[in-house]
Amino acid sequence: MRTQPVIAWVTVFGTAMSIFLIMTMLTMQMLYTMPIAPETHRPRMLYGLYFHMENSGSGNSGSGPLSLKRARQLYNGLEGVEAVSFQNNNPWRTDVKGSTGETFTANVRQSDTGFWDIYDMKLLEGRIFTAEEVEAGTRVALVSESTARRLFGGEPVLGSHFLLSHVDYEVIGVVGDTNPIATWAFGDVFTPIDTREYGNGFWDENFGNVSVALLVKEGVDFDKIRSQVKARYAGIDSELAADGYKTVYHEAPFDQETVSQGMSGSNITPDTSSAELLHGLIYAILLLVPAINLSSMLHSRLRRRISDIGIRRAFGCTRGRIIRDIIAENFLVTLAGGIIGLAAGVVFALLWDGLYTTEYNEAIHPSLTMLLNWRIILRALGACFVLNIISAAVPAWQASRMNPVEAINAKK
Amino acid sequence: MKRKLIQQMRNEWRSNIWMCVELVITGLVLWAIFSTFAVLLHMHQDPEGYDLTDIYAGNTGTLGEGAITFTPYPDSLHNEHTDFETLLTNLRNNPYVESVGAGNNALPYSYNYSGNLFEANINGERQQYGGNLRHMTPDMVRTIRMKGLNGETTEDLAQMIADGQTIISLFEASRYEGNPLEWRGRDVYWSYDSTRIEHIGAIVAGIRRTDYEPIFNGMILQRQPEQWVPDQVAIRVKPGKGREFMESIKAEDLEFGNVYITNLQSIEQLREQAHMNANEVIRTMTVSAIFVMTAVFLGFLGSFWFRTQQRVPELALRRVNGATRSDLFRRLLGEGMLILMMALPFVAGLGGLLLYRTDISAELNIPFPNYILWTGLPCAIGALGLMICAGILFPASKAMKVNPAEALKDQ
Repeated sequence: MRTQPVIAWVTVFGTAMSIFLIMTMLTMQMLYTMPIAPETHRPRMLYGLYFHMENSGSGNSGSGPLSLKRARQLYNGLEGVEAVSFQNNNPWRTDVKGSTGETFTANVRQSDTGFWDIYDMKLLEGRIFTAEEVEAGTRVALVSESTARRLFGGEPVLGSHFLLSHVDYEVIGVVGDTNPIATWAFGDVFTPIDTREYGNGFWDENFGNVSVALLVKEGVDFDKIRSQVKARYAGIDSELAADGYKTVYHEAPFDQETVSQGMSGSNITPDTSSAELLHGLIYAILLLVPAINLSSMLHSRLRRRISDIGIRRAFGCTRGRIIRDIIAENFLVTLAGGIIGLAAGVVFALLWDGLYTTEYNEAIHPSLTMLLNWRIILRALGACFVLNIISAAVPAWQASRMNPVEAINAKK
Repeated sequence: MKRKLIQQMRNEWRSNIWMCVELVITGLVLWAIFSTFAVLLHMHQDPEGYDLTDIYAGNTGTLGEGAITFTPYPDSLHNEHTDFETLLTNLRNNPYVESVGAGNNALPYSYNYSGNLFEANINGERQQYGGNLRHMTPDMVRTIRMKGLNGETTEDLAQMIADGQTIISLFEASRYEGNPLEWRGRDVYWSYDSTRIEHIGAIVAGIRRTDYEPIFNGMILQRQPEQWVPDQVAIRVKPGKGREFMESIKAEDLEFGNVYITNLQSIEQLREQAHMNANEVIRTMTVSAIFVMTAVFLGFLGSFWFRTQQRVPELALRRVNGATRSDLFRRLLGEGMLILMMALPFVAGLGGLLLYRTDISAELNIPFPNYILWTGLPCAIGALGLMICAGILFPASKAMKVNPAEALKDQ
């Protein structure tokens, strides 16, 4: 490589660029699917979202987020579920004002007590609300560490009162800040979900603003949960029959992979195959285009070393050994580029928050620990290996097939 | 000369085929990217029937009886609506404010899926019109300066809304039956409720949820129902006085009685939030385009670097025989362009086949003329040509500097 600095630079830069983009894409995808505190159980999570019904007679239909009534009917007490949380669909963004006098917008997460069983929230002081407080609609709240500072400055927080959308709430606990990457657990203020009929949780008895998080027991098949939910839809059908309506089941509840790709609508069965196809296509292009370049350059490099290869073959070196050596040599170059690309990917993700966005329009700052996750690094290194094999296989095979005599004479 | 060039290409056939394959792949990718940009630009340039300069928007809220600052009303003459009207009057008295309007789901960049269907008998046929339901006060029509497609002024439209008439937006005629302008002046009835008759006063360009949403998605605009306190307020400030207005606003200006305004911000900020997803697509596409173009640049740089090194004696001979430096550059560039020409039929054929077999406009549910997708092809070829030139430039300039005597001394 030292003899060809331009080629070395081109090879390493090309590989680094490819791995950097693969790493960036992987990070963007995996941050929403891999276990990250407080959503440490993501692989075991299922989410119940939306309700869809239609009237075959009039052709009228309705779909949207669940009411608390329907959410409980469909998802409470399922067999094989360790914990269930009924929470608001998206954090409610509203004004809060504490003793500092500053009014600012906070993300309010409303839930029942199951929320605290599912997510690994860091309780710094105080307590969580009780089931009785949820049912009674008691105005108590837990606030995140940074929100507590903005609301009360340095004053004691527990037992203090603040205005949440102009309504008085008492602080009963302080939790660690959550990252918006944790889409389902994220919030600045945590209050009991409104269980009153036609309260915030209800628009009517079918539709409201509720989503359901289910923590499935270890080893339980997701389809087992889905089949129970599907059976419950049939139960609701008999309730709706009087008005000529019937439910439309869309394979709920959905796993983390599905919800992380964004739900297409409340009246559509989510289809992850097209998103997967698109991702596959992008990864293929990211690997294939630089691989063609690397392959072409490796081929040219090997042509300059024809006589070397011929001599090695003449002294008994096997074809397999020639192939292995060329692939190993190329892998070192690919790896060097890969490590540079990986490092650039991490630095880029740390410095530029525009890369990651959420539906709450919150800037996401992934931490170094999140980015240096072994799952991401392993996949990026895997991409290096694949890139190496694609680019080196054909030139190495061609080089190994050379006739030693012709190779030594450099006739080929 | 051309025959020699082709002969030279044949000598390097293996490497050339790889570069050609690379150009076919990258050409298709760039075509898709540039076509996406063209479609986004096409939607962005759709006409708007309103003017949002100097507009500030806020959401309204009402205090329930549980609120600590809730004030009970002394008599039936006072209620949330009278509080709301006083709040708007106070805002109108601000020296920087020109007009104030209110409504529900009234402003552009508001995301709401509430919609409904109208039906009418047009030319003896039952036709349907579906649209996103929006409500506003006549003052909101004036504040965002709506204009009709048939020359109706803002004041005409405001009067129609005040009279309880319905305004609908232009929609793509080809996707529905009939001409959208035929709906103007007609009495229509709501689907599923034929007893509710509405009069269509005018057709407007439409209010969009993002600038990248097709304008042809329908909109049904009606008068703000009296029983609802509007959930949106729009304030038009005097030209260029936005900063002064925001500085002049105090907390007490944004609340009266049991009604308050929150999230007061310029419409530009709302626009930015609404465009978050579209911006992400544009950013990803731009990065992808830069990646494939850089890959092509590096590929040609590497390949022509080897090529020129191997062909030093040949290039030196050409110099000895009178070729100028620019002749050598043109020759090397000609090789690159010939590879691009080899790739072009494959790119055009494969891409064209895809366009022929798929109705992309229908797949995406975005109406646009088909030629827009073809504009991506020359852009892609142009970008590839530029990258090839850039990639060949460095090796070629090194080759042009070769000293013929030095290069041929071993021959």
